[in-house]
Amino acid sequence: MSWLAERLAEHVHTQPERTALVDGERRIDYAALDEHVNEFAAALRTLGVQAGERVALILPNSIEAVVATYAAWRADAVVVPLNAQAKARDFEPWLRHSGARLVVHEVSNRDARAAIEALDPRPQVILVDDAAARGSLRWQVLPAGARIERPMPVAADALAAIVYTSGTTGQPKGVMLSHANLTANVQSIITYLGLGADDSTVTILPFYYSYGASVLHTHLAAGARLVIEQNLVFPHLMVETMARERVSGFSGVPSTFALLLNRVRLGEYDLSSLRYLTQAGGAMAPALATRLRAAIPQARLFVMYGQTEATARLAWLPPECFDDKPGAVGVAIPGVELEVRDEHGASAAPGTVGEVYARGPNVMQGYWRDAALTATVLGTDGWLRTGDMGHIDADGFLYLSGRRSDMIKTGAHRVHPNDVEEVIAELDEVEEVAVVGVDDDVLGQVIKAFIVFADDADTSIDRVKAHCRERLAAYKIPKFIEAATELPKTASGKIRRSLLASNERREDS
Amino acid sequence: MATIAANNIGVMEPERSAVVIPRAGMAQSAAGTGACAPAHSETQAASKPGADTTMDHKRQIKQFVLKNYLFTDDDSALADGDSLIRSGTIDSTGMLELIFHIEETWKLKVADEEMVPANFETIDAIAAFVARKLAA
Repeated sequence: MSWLAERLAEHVHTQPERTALVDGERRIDYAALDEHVNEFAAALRTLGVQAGERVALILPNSIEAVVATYAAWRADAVVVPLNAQAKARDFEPWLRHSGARLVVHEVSNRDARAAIEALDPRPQVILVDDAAARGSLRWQVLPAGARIERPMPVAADALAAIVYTSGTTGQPKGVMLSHANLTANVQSIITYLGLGADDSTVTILPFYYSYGASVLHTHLAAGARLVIEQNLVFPHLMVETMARERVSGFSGVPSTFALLLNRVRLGEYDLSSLRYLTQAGGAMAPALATRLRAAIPQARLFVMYGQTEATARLAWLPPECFDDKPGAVGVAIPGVELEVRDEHGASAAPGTVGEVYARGPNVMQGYWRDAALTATVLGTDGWLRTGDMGHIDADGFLYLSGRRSDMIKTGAHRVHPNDVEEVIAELDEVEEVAVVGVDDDVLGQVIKAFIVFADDADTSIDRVKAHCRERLAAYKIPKFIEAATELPKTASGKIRRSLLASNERREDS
Repeated sequence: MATIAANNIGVMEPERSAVVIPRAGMAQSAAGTGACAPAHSETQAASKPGADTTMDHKRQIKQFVLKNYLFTDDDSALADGDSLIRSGTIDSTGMLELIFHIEETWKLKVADEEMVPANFETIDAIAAFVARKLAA
């Protein structure tokens, strides 16, 4: 059994009645959570799920998503947490590529259903009745199974999860994380945040992203309390929950904090219980960070950096260093080595910009069923090529200065331009398309598409957007569309996205 | 990918005569906060504070949501009682844009404490909220 699932069982002995999860009006203590996990693990076994087989989850944050994750581990299966906002065109290649034996999804998710129906053989399905008004857990039908006997410990390098970071029709990219990866990263984070059973947090970060997953697993491993809020549509309601639940911590991406500071009169709420805040998911403007620290002065702000290929976390900035090291994402977390290399692959001198490499027990096992892609980022010596550019100062603090890839960061999401371009290019009237990220005060970046339309095309922007809406998660729909007569290209004919993006920045300034 | 599209929720085909974009580069905001959002100006032109009925509010709000979040004129794409949030039609920034639109159109102020699901979960709820605010 995994260390994380093991920890859950330990809490049943030490603090059975302490609340583990709060989800709307549902509160569940560690004893009940453990019981539900056992029940679901037994159901997986009854349905024939074997050790090492993949169980895909298409679920928004909920008690059910937590139970299914830990139950899969207790049954020695591999969890494949899929983005619940994605569409059928994403789910189908992910499910096929992962070879999912079983899928857990909400009854109302028509995209999940459509993707499953297109597969042969079809995976088994466990449904969550999201229309159920009340009730402890909302499984539509859960086969009763014999209780799982305490299994043998799994090998440390046994696979715990496959996390798809991008790729739809092209090349699904599934990050393989072992139980040892998860354990190492969770233990490091617990150490530097000083998390204990008395801690609690409200979380809006999706569990299917590495940041949200790390918030979930660190709190359950510490025996702490996690309050699930679905979104930030009504930001002051979330702050009310933070005050009411007297939470000790809160984690967000820069846009989370921008929304809270701009839309909620934080001074009107009693947030004195907050002892720390964490921020990851892209650089936060120094002015925003300063406002945040002034608004909640007693809370220590931890700026952090990482990526899914490193389970979640690679670096953290001790709050005490915030003023001395403005703009830094910190030092390596316990157990991790960071290095910046020049274009020749040699270790760069302090202050010299190069590509960031990382090594440690949290570095992934590789990309699922793609040894060639794995070899492009993961050396046999264990060093991971992050794709991020930056430098390390003389004191060992890492500063980032952009990415080598074109990945767009919008809110808590990562969007690869290819995913959006493929969809827009399906329209007959589109001759060429390029998608870039443009700066946005709240979301960090929003998506902009440049389209060259065929001559005489009677085209509406709405038609392009409606087409995207049908086929892409809402956050991938371009906010701006610009008709262009031509797109800049390299000598070999490749569209120069970076030039389009930098032109945008110049026009803004 | 034809199989997937066929299984998807009904394909929406907005009228071809919607907005014809010029060949020269003109950017438009998806959510209608830009100066050149047609739905926005249409609804503003149609709104005469004090003379509206609840049905008019509902129609205008729905047009705004259809146009700016679902990118269609097809009234059947969204039922008045559908949850805008659970369905993923509107996210956190979309809600701010919708509230801004309501404040601009009906010249009213939405207080923080009024930003709750009871007032903004569905088209029905928003229309009733606007009617209450205008009557107050």
